[in-house]
Amino acid sequence: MTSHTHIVMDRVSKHLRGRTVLNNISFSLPAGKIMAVIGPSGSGKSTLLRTINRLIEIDSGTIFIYHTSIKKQNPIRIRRKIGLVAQTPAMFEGTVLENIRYGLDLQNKYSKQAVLKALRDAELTTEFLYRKASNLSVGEQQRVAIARALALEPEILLLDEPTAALDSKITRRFEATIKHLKDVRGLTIVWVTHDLAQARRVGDYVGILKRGKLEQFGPASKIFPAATKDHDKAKRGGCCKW
Amino acid sequence: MVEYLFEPIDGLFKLALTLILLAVIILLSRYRKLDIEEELIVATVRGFMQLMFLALILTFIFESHLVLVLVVYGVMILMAGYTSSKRAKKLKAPLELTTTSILVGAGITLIIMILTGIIPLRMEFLIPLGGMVIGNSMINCSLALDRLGSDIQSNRNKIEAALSLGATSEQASLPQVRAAVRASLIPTIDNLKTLGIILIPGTMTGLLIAGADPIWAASYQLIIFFMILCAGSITIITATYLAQQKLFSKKHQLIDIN
Ligand SMILES: Nc1ncnc2c1ncn2[C@@H]1O[C@H](COP(=O)(O)OP(=O)(O)O)[C@@H](O)[C@H]1O
Ligand SMILES: [Mg+2]
Repeated sequence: MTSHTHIVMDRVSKHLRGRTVLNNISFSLPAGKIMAVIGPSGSGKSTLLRTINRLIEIDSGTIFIYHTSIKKQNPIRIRRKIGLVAQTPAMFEGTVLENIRYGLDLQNKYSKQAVLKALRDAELTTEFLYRKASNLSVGEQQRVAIARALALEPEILLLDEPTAALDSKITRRFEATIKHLKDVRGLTIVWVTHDLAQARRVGDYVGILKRGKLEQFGPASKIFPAATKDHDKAKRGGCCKW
Repeated sequence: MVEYLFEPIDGLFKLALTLILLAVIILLSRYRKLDIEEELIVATVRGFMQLMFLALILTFIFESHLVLVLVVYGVMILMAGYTSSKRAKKLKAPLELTTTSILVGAGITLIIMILTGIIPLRMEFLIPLGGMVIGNSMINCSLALDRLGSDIQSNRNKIEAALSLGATSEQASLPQVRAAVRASLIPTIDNLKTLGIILIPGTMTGLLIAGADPIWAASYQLIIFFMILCAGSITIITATYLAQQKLFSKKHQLIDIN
């Protein structure tokens, strides 16, 4: 949608309790593209996402969104344009509907259509609307969390292993939906995944994170050379091993 | 209106006789191997010393200048703030937070009660009523902060989810603040609800023993309850507000405490 919507990290570092969790990270993600972030657990993927919507403050470096350092922007306003789907879905008290409309209500922007649209994009049906969110399975809760974020029609999506609890059929449908949203709405997406094959399927760009360092970053075609089509070959080729 | 039913010496003798009750508890504890004898004896001795010391001080205070009330209130509030701040460990609530909250809650209430003349400007009213209000505010403050601290810790994911959806830190922690306020006021509210049915509360008991008119005693008891409720509510609201400011950064980030 907006050509200036993109995410830039410039030498970003973050320390937590004396440990370097993000180490001098720099990358530039063009608008309307998906960056797949892969790396072993504990490598800082979740922390990376949480710095972008400023749930946590970075210690050094700069994060630019819309060409402006996020430190110069209002955190509430910027978060309303950035949807974050956290690694473990946290449901609010009440029904699925109440969960999905939460962000809309904060801005007095609730509409039934917005909720239904988000519900559909998150691969949920209307029969979920009045069920108690805390009673759903983890996979269903994850989809409610996705719907909750999509309802605000964000310009940037931060997905933290969004399909970890979904079966492969729903995962594939979800991947298609997100790619479609990216195409029609020009969403810019950072998609953290454990799954190399998924990174290959969804990533326009790929970042490989290891112990807080962005070891590789570039267009998917460079990170995954065309010759190594599948997972095994990619590993054998020396790339992306951990 | 207060007649002397007890001579001081007679009083001490009756107190000694009451130790029979303590002996009963100790025997029971021995029998059931509850292992509470030592603590009971220590608590009894401490309570005896403290109350007797208080009685001596009160005898002195009741005779002295009214300005001393401010000093006594100050000491009470500091003690209450100190005690409460140790209770609210999860929050790392410093002394200032609890002391300020109790000062605001008890202070506003006491000032209103004194200005309206409901509490007469006399030592024998100001000191015990002040102590009651401050003491209850302390308990309310501890309960509220303890609950808020643990609720926020155990709901970090939810709070950060709300922040991610564009909620302010006040909006994001509203459910936890609400739960803390409710939980800490429930004992007082329940007491109010069952007033006179389950127990005849302390002040009324005292007034009745001292021979006061029941209607007058009941009115005074209610006044005290409303004072406690009012002071407690203001203390809780102040404490949870201040705690919220401590738990979140100005940028609406949930601060990592541990
Ligand atoms: N609040 C925190 N305090 C201290 N260490 C943390 C905190 N959050 C994450 N970490 C540490 O930072 C590292 C990166 O964590 P995380 O970003 O969750 O990794 P990933 O999502 O890749 O598994 C881990 O070693 C983790 O233990
Ligand atoms: Mg993670």
